[in-house]
Amino acid sequence: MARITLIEKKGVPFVSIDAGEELSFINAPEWTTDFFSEADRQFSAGRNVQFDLSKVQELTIDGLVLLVGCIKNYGINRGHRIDIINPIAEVPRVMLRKFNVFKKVPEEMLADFSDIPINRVSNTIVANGVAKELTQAASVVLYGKDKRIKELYEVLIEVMANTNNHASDDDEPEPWYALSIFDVERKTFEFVFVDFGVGIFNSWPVKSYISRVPATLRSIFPIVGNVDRQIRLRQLDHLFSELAEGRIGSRTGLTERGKGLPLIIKHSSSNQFNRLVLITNDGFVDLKEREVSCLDGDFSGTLLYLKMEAV
Amino acid sequence: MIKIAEDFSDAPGARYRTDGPKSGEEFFDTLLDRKFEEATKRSLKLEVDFDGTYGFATSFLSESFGRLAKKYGKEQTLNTLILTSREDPYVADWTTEQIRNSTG
Repeated sequence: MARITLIEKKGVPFVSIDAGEELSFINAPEWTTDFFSEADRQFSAGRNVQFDLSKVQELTIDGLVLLVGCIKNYGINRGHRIDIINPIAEVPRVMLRKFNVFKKVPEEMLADFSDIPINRVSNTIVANGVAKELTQAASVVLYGKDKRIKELYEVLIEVMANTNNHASDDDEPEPWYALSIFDVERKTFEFVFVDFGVGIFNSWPVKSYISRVPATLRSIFPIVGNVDRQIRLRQLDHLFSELAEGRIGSRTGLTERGKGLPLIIKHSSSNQFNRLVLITNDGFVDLKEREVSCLDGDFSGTLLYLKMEAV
Repeated sequence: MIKIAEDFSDAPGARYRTDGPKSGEEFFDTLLDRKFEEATKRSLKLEVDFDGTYGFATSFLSESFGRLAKKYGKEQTLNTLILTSREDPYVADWTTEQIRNSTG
């Protein structure tokens, strides 16, 4: 459990949440889910939240994008006040500054990282222009030229479309947040995308699919009460396979819908990607390895992380 | 002939105009439907070339070509279109399958 402390800052009460040493959804999913779930609980209870990052040694871009989302998304913070305690360690501290998450790191600390271009975007639509620019930039960093990496463009545009179509419970568009890092020296590109919607495993099409499962198979979907972890893992694994095969459609019920996730999964086997990870609800899916894990916590939303290196 | 990368966009978007720019709906309304109708009236084939783009969302393809199939029927649509995709044959095959399986 994330450690919390009640504090007062300039007369305003805050709940301070200790982020520990590693804020990384892809490397420490249980801990990071717990950290952000605690923040969500506190915001829900009407409290101001202080993110105490002072002990953080490792901060990955997926951890960062969740932080950005918490700060920017009214649906998460519900308008309550947010404070951040800077990491003491230099690398995560500078990373926060580079992404403009907050502005208290001295400019001179940026010198060592000036050759790592970064990009931070947010939107509520399928931004084809952003997907194109990211694809162009990635191909220039990886291959020294604009190579039109179709697998990358299509993954980017499909994940945006997924948010647009399935993330919201109502007709209001759900915002998404994305961060990317281009490392020219190492010739790598990292990208993370997140929305704080209902999550894929809790989306209408999946719930509808479960409700249609024949009674004889219903035992693998014990959706009421405390679900045993092993049973839940089987359930997630089954749902993922069905999603990959395009057998779980969209809320329209039309068979030609719901093909975006299968395309992302198809592209995950491309040698363009070194890592492709999907985290949604209590599912952690290593798309490249086709491995599904079950998290203890529940992340309300969908996060996609990818890493590419020059082939 | 329609070369999507040159005549419409080299970075096509998603399904509807409300999803964002350069959607399948916009492609159908502004280009595909008109060109298809012209070809049909003159009993010609219509070639659609997918090459030269950054890629396609599945929703872009299913919306634009699905609408065509709904408006003109699957058979006429498949008989009139020539789908070309040398860079990624999967796109043309997938779109053909979508037309075959389109509902309505």
